[in-house]
Amino acid sequence: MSFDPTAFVCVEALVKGQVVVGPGCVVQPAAQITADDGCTIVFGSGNIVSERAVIRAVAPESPSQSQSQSQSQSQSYSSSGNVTVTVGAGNIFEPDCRVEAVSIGSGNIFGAKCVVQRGCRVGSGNYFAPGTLVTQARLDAAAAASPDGASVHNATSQPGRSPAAVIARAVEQQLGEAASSTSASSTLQAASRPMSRVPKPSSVAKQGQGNAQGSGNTLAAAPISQAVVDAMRPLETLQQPFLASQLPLFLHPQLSSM
Amino acid sequence: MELPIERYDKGTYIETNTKNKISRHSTVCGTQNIVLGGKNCVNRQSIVHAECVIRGDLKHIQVGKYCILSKRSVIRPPHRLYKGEVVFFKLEMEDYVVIGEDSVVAAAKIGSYVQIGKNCVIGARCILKDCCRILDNTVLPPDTVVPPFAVFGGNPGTLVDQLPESAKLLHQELAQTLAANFVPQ
Repeated sequence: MSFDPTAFVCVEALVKGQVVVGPGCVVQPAAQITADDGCTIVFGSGNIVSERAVIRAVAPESPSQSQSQSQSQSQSYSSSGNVTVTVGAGNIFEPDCRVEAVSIGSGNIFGAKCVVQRGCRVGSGNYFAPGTLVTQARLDAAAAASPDGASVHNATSQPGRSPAAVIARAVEQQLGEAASSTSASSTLQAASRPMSRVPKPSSVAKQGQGNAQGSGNTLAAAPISQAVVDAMRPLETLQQPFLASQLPLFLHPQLSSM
Repeated sequence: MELPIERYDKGTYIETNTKNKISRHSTVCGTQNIVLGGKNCVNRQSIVHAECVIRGDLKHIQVGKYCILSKRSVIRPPHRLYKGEVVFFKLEMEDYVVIGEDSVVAAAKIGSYVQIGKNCVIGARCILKDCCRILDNTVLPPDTVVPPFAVFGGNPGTLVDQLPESAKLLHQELAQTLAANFVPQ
């Protein structure tokens, strides 16, 4: 066990086993950094391990057990007895998270009470929302969606219900419906479309599917942030004629001023 | 429903002369910054259970009377990014607050008669007004304001229910009963 002279490891923290704490790290009281026998944890610089966070390097189980669990375990476990968990620089482990990953990159934020499954390889620049269960499958899916840093949200609730997912789905529906019903340059047609009908997700989804190829580029061109800004604007101020790409996300059924 | 009497080993808890009970197995940092049990109260009866972590070293923490901080909970002052720096500010908790086991609380202000469930995450700078209730396993995002008599649940925490005005008495009775039922062996 070696602590860099510039690191702060509180007296009340539990650091057990072969742990190398890098420069400028902060290990707060009641944090637990445990390396099982034969395992090593190496921290980079500037990590913050909050109270009651558990970072553990778990020794691989006996061969008979690992055979039965080989499907569920990720293949990053080597057959040798030594596991070295490398943690990059500048990660923040918020209170009560449980991290048993094999390798962690830099600049991640592990939210409070998130659980990172044994054997995961966490990249860099990720944000794990509080209470999430992070498995290797979710990490790969998130990394495929956004290579430069992913957000993993909400393991306990339905995956489609996170605010970002809801907004993304609504934007896709609106753009799909607008592309199918009007031409993009005809604002009068967009204005005269009956506003009292709230588009049903199932019917619009089919239209959206047909236009997904065509409006896929539109979806990328109209940034989500602009749609979020439009959603945040109160409906009363949408007085000017708008383009199809700027439709409000949720059409109020009583919007009769258009 | 009668709450059971919970007996504890007298050696494992420190009892102050204002009748606060603090577990010896809890991690209370920065005791000079912590006010436990209200300021002008003789009989304070707040309880800090085992393996609770209170970070008074980051900033002041003010806890009212009859507050129950259950096992393995984490009470830490909220932080904010101010001009590029992380700044902690005061955590104020009023009377009769029950914080469930395993909860992580980083709220800015918790009102009176609040009940926080087990395994919750109260994000940074949250404001919980009086008589509200946070259900078990809730995750409140940062800067959430929980209105009075609201019930928040889920991940992310949203309003799921509202409490009647009698919730004030119910929460007060719960906190007082938990404090009264915690007796030495």
